[in-house]
Amino acid sequence: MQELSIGELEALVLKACRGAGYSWGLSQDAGRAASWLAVRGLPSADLFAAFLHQIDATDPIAIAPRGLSPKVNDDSPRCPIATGALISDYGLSVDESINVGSVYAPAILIPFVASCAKTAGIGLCMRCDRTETTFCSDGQLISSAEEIDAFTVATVSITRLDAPDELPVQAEHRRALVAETKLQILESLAHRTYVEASDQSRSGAGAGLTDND
Amino acid sequence: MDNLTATAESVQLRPPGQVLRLDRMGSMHQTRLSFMRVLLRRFASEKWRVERTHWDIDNKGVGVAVYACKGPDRTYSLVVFAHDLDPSKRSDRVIAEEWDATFTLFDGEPDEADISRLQSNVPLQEAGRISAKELSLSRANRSVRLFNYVRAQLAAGCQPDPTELDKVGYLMRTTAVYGSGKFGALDRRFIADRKEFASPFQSELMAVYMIRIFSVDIVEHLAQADAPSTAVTLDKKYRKSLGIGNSTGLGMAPFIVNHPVLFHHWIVAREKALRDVRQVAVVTPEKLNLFRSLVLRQQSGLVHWNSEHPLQVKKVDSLAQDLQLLAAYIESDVHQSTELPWNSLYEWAEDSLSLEGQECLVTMLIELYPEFVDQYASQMSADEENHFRINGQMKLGELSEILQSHYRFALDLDFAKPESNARFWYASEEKLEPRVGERYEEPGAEREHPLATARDIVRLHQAIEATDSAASVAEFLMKHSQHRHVVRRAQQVAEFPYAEITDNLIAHDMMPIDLLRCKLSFFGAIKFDPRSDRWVRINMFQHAPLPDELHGQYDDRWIYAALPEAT
Repeated sequence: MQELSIGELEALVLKACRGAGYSWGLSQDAGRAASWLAVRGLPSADLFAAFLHQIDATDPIAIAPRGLSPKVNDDSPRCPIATGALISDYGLSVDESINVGSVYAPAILIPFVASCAKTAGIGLCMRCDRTETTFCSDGQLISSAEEIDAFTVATVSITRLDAPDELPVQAEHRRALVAETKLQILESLAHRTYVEASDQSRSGAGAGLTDND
Repeated sequence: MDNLTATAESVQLRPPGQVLRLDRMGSMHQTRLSFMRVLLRRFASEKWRVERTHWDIDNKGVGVAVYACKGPDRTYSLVVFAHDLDPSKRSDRVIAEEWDATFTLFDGEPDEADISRLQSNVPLQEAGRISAKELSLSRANRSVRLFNYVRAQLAAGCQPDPTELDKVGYLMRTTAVYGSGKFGALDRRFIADRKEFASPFQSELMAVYMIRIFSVDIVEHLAQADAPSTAVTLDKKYRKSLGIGNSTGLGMAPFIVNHPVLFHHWIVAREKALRDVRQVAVVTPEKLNLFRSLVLRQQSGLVHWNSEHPLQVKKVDSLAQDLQLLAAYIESDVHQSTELPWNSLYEWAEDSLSLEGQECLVTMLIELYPEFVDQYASQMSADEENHFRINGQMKLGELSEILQSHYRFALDLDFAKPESNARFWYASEEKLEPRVGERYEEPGAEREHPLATARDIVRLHQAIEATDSAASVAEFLMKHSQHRHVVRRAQQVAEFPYAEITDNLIAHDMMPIDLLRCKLSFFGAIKFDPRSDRWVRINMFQHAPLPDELHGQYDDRWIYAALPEAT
């Protein structure tokens, strides 16, 4: 296992998503979601690596949601990053409940649903198949079933929950642990965002002078 | 200040479109609010002790040293690894692989196991790993000519010639100071609630302050090793006249673009401070005298602002003229009789001085009134997390209005012209560092980083013009994800108007050193010496109080050169 700082994880997931073909904006959301998961001790890097590996060579646009209902999405699984962003962008009104439909790697949705709970100031429950993940009205995670981390695809719905307004402060995890194989997946995707060095590019890297003065 | 100021709203903040142009950003100077000065004010007011706690360095200058900063609640330690570097490997570029000395700031006091672990990693810099016990990672090279000269002088039992010291101003220069989360260091978010880190970049600058002390200790140590019977230590006045250099490239430029909400807080704090001073109704003789002395000290400091870069030479020349004009203006009757004297002075300066002179004046005006200006130093951090979410319920019509009112500078540009779209920002495979390329000459533009804000805003504007204005942002972004990064920026700018540089960062004549200078001025750097259009050397902590001068009569205006001695 490799230990990363939270900032390193965020930057790595951002670049990996960009390398996988996501827009910069969605990649930023993914990076932020990765750090949210990691400080709560969830297997953030592994989740993103597994998902990006699973869909590699698929154009992210092809699995982007066309709305928030199974019908408009032809009942086919959708991307959790774009779906999460859509949920977070829209926000939820107090009485609403959404049948999101089928989503890849649904654990990635957790930070986005948390953002929704916080913005609307309501408790929420996210059901993935038979599991439940619950959120306070301040966006904190109340509980999450471990099985959700392993789901590659699940049917997701979000409903209102009578939850406490806040939880006791929980210790944050300062490090993100990532398995070597998963790290390699993320790094090789991130690598696609780099530009190969050339003499011209090196010339811009410094004053081009010796430092012996 | 109440009885001395006119009505609260009589002077407006300078608008973003005036402040955040690259040419003005590239003329900014340090102020009382700069992070280096905030750090030392805290050291003084809280009676921090800074001392060397370990020194195990051999006669070749190789070994380990530890310095400690001890505050009321915590201790932070600079762990130093000193090396004997082959001169052929001494490069100021980030692509170097070995340095004269490498450093890390340890959170607490390291034990032997910590030092042993750090010894295997810190000298490798980017190729090593540090841990959650460390807050920064950095390295420095000797300014060889001055270092060797001082070493020889001290070894011979003589003090160095101050003229020689002035030419460089430091014995070592850092080439990178990595902070928050970099290469395994602890993320800032976990220490942001410590009061000593309330202002930005305090842990990095704490490390730099201790590196400055090390740079003199090591030259004294080597002189002693060279000639044990004759060597002397450096006189205190010369020790104090030496700062620590820094050689900075493009690496730090994207930061202020990638942290728009934070950047707004830096800029608006400075602008509010300026506005408050411009609103002062009555200038007391004490303040006028202080201003006179600041002008003289700036003039005195200019003599030591060395640069060979033609642009900087020109700027320093105009600043010299501007300071003469300023000195003459404040003695004139015009100045004495106006209603808001500092405001009149400022308005006169906008018409009469170069940008370099105008921004130097801003620094001096802010310097005059610590009693109501220093409060703004505590408003220069930001909770970026809380402003990250996109409001998808906003209608496109409203978003379009934001673009019209905050991005006029961009909408007026024509990106079909090659000169407007000439550059692209990217990360190099070689060292993963940011670089700027020529779009039409170099490969890699398809891997461009999102720093072309103006161009991307224009694209967003065109796309929303072609869409129903009653549609929501969420609906729009679901179909047009490529605009997502700039929609976020636009919504942030609506709330934080100083978040955006109002210039084109990919124009053919864009100079990255303007971005660097702006950021470095907020750090408190002086003596900007560009080595190219994308690389600059600076001096930090020059004339700053030494550890034993932090208490008692702390000189808060240490950063200004001393007045010329009467002859």
